[in-house]
Amino acid sequence: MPPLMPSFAEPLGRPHRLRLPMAIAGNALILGLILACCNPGATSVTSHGAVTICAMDAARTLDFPTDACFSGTFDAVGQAESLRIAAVDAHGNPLKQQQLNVTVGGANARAATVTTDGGGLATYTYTAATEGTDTIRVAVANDSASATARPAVIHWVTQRHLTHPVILVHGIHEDAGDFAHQFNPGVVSDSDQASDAGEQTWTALIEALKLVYDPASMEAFCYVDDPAWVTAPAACPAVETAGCNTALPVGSATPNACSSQSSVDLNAVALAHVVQDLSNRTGGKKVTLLAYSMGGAIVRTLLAGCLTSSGPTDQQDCATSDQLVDNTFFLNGAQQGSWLLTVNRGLDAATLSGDGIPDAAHSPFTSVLPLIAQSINGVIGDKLGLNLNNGAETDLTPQSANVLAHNSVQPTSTVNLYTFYGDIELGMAVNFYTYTLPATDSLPLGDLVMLAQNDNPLASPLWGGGSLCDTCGSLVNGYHSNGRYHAWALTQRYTFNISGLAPLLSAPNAVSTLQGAIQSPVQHLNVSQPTTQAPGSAIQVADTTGRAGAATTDMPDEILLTLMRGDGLI
Amino acid sequence: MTRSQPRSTRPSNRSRSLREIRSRRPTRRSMWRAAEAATWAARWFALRRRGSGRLGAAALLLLCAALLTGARLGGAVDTAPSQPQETLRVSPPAGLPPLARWVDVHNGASYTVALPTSAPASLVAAGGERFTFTTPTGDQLVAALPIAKQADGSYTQSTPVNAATGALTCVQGILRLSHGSGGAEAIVYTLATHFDQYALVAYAHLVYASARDKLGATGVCSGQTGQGSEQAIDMLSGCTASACTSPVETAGPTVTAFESSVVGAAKRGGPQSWQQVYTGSSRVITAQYGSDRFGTLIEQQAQKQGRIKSITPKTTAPQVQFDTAGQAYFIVTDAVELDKGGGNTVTVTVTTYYLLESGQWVFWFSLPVGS
Repeated sequence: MPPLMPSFAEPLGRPHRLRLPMAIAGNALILGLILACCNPGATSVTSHGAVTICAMDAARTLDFPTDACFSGTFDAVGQAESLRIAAVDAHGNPLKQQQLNVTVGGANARAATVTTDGGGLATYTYTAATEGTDTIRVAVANDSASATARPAVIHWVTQRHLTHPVILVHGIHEDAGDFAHQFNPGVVSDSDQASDAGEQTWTALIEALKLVYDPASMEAFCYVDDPAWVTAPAACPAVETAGCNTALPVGSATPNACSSQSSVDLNAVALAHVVQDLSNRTGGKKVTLLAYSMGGAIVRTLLAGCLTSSGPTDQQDCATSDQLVDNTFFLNGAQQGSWLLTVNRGLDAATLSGDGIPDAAHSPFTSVLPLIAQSINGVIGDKLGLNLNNGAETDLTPQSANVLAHNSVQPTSTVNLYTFYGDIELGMAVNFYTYTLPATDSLPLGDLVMLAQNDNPLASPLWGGGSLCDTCGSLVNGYHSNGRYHAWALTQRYTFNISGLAPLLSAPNAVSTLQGAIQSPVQHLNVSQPTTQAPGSAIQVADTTGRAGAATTDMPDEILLTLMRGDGLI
Repeated sequence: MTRSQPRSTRPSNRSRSLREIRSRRPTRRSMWRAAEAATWAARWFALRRRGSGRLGAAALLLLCAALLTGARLGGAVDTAPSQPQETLRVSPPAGLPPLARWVDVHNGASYTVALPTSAPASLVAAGGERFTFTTPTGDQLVAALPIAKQADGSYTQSTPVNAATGALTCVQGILRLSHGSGGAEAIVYTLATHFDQYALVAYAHLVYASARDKLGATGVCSGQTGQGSEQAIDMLSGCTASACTSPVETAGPTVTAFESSVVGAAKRGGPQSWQQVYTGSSRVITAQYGSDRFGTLIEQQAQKQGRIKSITPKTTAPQVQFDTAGQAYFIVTDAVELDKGGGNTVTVTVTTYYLLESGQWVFWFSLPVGS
């Protein structure tokens, strides 16, 4: 009602000939609204409204209860889960005192009715008795068109307390304290995390693992120069150097800082010691490694035997430790390095080459690739804190001594290798005067930091890559495998109009039509965020266990099911 | 080197430059001051001697003959007015870009060079400026060599010249390989490049061989190639080994001709009418659509939105600019009249970007004003 009032006032000052039609139209609108108000069952307003539902992320709730509701969560069978519901009308105003129908489908099917409060909010709480996945939808009573566009998803898991050691190896410029705190909040307090929700990544995966496995056997790896040595010392196992190793290589940009930018080689040797220690502490059990971004390079180096490490026992330690690893999950891992570093070291982005990338001599993207590279560097590279003088950046540059070494041999034959990698594919439409020509060719840029190549474990392409699956053949539903190799491509397609790149011509950090791709949930930095990882998110992967209850599921569920299958739990 | 990289299919520098000189027709635009020409002739001749001077005298005579017939040599481009007054006049860029980039669209080779923001009058940088040369197969050489500013304002970047012989001296470098199992190859190479005073057009010639290929390396360093697996690669972007064409002069006529071809094609109608427009477009279009497909798409749009009836420039004197990646472009604002049928027309203001691609101005993309 209020938005209509000004339109009635305005005609008063207009030419006389407009007053009669405006008055008629206004009266018709008033009549319609009166009818709507006198008939509560009518849905003329709500039929264009929206109902949303979300589930609380248990890990995030601990520190950020007001920013912890996502598309789904993991819960223990027998525990209660409260789902938050919000209903608004077509104008975005809360639907007050509105009856909503809740429908639960899946392992614990049921139906219920809830009523919104004065703010248009409602809560639906239920407890599941059966393990499996539930899908929860909500609609305004008598208005099925208002049903939630995306349902909430809850994976109900039978709580266990099994010992299967897990180490999360985080990425460059990250803080192990963030993850150690999530694994064991009662043991590790993390001072800086409490003020930065953005540090709470991988929360769904960590919660999923904790439901089945003993958190005491799970930890986060501290880089030799990890911020955790300062912010959360309890996060770093005693076997590691007691204190941030600031003796970084000469030439480091930040030689005295603890910033997780030390060399891959140094960290691979340290990881070898941590793996041995954790395995010893868990009765000799084999360790599963979760490796994100630079963590992937560290793990590949370990699994190759730390070939470029020079300490007297380094290679022996790595060779011993890689026999203690049973599974590795690479999450946008740096298998062959980042193309951004190639560009930053002076190579010409216009001549980018790789799997599926059009040859430079016949590519429609040649003139825009340098602009795209600059834009990605500006937005993502800055957040990664890339500095070419640091050991990490040296090793993560494609064809670095580290990459060439760890890709010169097959990873340890006893390790199962599971790889999830971003596969953002860009299409480019072209404005020709007033006409718009559609995008036809595709430019695959991986997760924008790592290209979606090269499956060959022994390849070290000039522009690097983040995939790994030896002789796995073509992807089927985004997945392929061969023996111990398994890989999932997180494919997202975006079309930008080249005219939308115009702002980049004079300002590399300008907002452009690349924003869609840069904000992609599978973009390198976003893949770890709750909106990508949470059950029910738009990013689905093929289920290879046959136990997800559907052909696809979310990444954490697939990882958990894979581990449980390996442990004979399903 | 063991890779099966194809050798350059172009004729050798010497024979090509001679043919180019012979075929060059005298025009007013190509008139050039004799003193500058002599400087260029001496320099380029010295750069291309390769230790064998048997044809030197003949080449010098031909160069002189070319000068007499008005051939333009060297890297400097003349921006003297030569177009009718009604033609759009495009101004040269205000200065050098921090990074200059040239691509040879015919073979995919590219050459980029970091340029100092303030260039001393004689020598730009004694220590060397970083350049990247990309071969047609995507292998990349990143190194630094001095840039020298010439008397006519143009620039050269090359491996050192032997003062005694006038031949290029070979140097060692690392070639980053794009194919195979990955890695880098130690090479010896000579590089000769020249680009105009605005860094708009350039020529680069790289000769290299694997350091492990003793015969090839010796050939590169002696200028007597053909004994080993040497590679010779040209990057032509508006210049040949001996001459450059001013893109500043051609910019205005290019726009006029292109817009005229668009209106003409629209008037004729049918997918086949757009061939000339297609060839005047950048690879953003030509590499993405075939000629027939392009014509079909345009015709489909014309059916939906109206047929282009006229294009009237609203810009009088655009200036060439460099984007942040070192590519040269300029912008023209047009009033585009669309025939909607039934005698109805609408006029839309459109900004169109032209890109310098291998020394040719080509249609890049449009941006409706206000969008």
